[in-house]
Amino acid sequence: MNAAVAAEAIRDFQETFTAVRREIGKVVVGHESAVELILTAFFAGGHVLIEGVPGIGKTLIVRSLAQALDLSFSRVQFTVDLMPADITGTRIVSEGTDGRREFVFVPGPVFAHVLLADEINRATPKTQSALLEAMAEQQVTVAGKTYPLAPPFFVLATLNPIEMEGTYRLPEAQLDRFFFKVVLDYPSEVELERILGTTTGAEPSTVSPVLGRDSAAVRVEHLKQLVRQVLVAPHIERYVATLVRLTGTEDTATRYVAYGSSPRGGQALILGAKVLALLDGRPHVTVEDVDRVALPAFRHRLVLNFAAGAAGVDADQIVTRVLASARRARP
Amino acid sequence: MARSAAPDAVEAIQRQLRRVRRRRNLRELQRAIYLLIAVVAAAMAGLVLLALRASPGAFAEGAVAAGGIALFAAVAVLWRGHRRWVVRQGAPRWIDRETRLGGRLVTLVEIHRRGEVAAPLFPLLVAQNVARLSVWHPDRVVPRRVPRGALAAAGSAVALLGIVVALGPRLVPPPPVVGAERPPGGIEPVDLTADRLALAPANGDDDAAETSNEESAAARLQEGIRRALAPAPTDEPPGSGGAAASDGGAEESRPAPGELAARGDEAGNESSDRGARVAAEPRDDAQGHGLLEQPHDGDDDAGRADGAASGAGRDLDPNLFGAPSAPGSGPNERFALSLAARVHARAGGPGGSGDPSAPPVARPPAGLAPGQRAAAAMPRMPVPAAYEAVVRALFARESPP
Repeated sequence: MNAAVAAEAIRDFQETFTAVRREIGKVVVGHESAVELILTAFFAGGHVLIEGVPGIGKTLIVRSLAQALDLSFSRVQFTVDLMPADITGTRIVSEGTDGRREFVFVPGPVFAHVLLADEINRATPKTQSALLEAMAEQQVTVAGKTYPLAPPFFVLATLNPIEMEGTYRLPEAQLDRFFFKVVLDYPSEVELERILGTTTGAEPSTVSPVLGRDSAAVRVEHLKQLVRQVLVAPHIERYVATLVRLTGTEDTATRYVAYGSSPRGGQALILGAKVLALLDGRPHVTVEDVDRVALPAFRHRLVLNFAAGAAGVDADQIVTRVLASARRARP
Repeated sequence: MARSAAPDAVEAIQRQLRRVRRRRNLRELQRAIYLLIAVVAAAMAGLVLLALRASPGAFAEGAVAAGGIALFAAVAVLWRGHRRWVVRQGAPRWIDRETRLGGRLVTLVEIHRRGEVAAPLFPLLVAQNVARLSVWHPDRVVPRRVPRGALAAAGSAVALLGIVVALGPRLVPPPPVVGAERPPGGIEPVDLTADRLALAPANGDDDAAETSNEESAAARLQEGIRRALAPAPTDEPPGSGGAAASDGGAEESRPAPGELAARGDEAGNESSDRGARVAAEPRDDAQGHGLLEQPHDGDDDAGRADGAASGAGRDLDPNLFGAPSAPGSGPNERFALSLAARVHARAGGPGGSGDPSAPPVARPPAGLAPGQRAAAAMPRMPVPAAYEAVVRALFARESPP
């Protein structure tokens, strides 16, 4: 790839990203940074955990994303009685034309490009774990047989932080598989006015597909491949490694963090930074790119101890301190 | 296209990188040198000023303070230079930061160093860097080859030092004059020049045992500076009209410091000679002197016609103390006061004949048995060099009323 071709590829990425963001913005009022982070994770090949109170547009964002990219979309409402087979699919006995009966695999909702796992913390850990293999390996194993998932595969799970009764905390292994954790705040007053105006009219806004249905998956994979090609200098890798290490050794972290980030956190930092670099038209990652994605990449990967809860310290505060320490140590 | 051009482009980028780094470091080196020159020159100027104007104690304190400040400033300059020195590894990052290249240069250099030039986006990175070569051209990153501020500071400090050195003799405070001004036909006031007041160190003396070596060194340094910038006047008191010079025609040579202890007699001799010269001059102010002859160590046999010891002066002899000794350089040095001048009694006094022209007559002391030797005053006594000024002031003679 020569310079001109590379520049054209980056421009194509920027245009696609911007177009999808614009389409989502037609129906989702506000949450610009959250949408950008979700798209960043999507093009980086990760999954996103969205936390927010009910009614602020979590599901709408995911559905709009699927529509804008013109990808297949599934939604699973997680409940306490949801079983793993309800997600992955199951084998049923089917009788053939010749009268013979055999087991036939019926794919579950996980077999889609975009999967919305709504209120994922309401399902039992067993059911939650059903997503583990799909999220990490992009495949599902049912009755000893493995079924690959068609790329791109993107899981968006939502969490309701206020209704904790009858919920199950996500296991750390499950949390670690989410690329980013995005927190949706309440809309501002101006945004609220726009929401009321756009959602109660006679013609609600609709999302137009940015990519063609036939080529969408291929285009998305191509763009994801471009993301992987973004250059990362050794000093950036050192910086990310320092950040990951500091999540467990920084002064504040030592006091309040039981377990720091895993190496997956570092991977998320670099991949997310690569997407931001492309968005900025650069073929290389900078420290600023890394800093911008540090909070969503780390906040769900820190296991806080009791002292943190007692002191009212949350993961965001610790990540902010870690970033400040890393900046001071930067040459 | 770009892939084939990449090696040349990378080489051009690295060449410019080296140029910028070399230019920057050369400038920082100059800055450090100029600032060091400024620090040293300023400290020396301060030291010279202190040496010329301050008392020995103040000079010692000032010298320590000036030295400390100069040392601190020099260390600060060197530390700053060290921090601003651009090493080879850090040059891309420094240029990147200075010219806001967005990490392009440092990424290119590091990726190239790691050998990942086959990466698909590397040609684009090279192209972006080539397009920005003018942004970090050496003339823009390091606009001036010479650090003007540091150069001006160095020049100012050196100029200040030059001014101080040039004006050094004028900056020496006037010597304290002991005694009245010279009356018409009277004696010359004794000139105690400043270098005499700050004479040799007093350490080594039992009374000054607490004087530290540092103070001694400071005193030597101060004396050295003063001697270098404001040479000590000759033994002729200023304004003496060159009478002695015209009289003898030759200046007395100052004894070497090391010779002082051994040359106590010589000092006395010098004084005696000078006294003799002065005595030979026509004097109209010596009247009615009874002469009390005092033996002079080593000069007992060198009597003069007027009965005084050899080299003894008269009552108005300005060189009562003999030739000033040179400031000492050794800690145990002494100077010798040659109290060889004749002691005169005024008319009506113990020996007062009232006739100035009458030759002095030695009178045997009364009340002594024959052969009994009279107690003789000690004409010469070793005195610690540091006390010379005090002794001179105490023994200074005022002009006659």
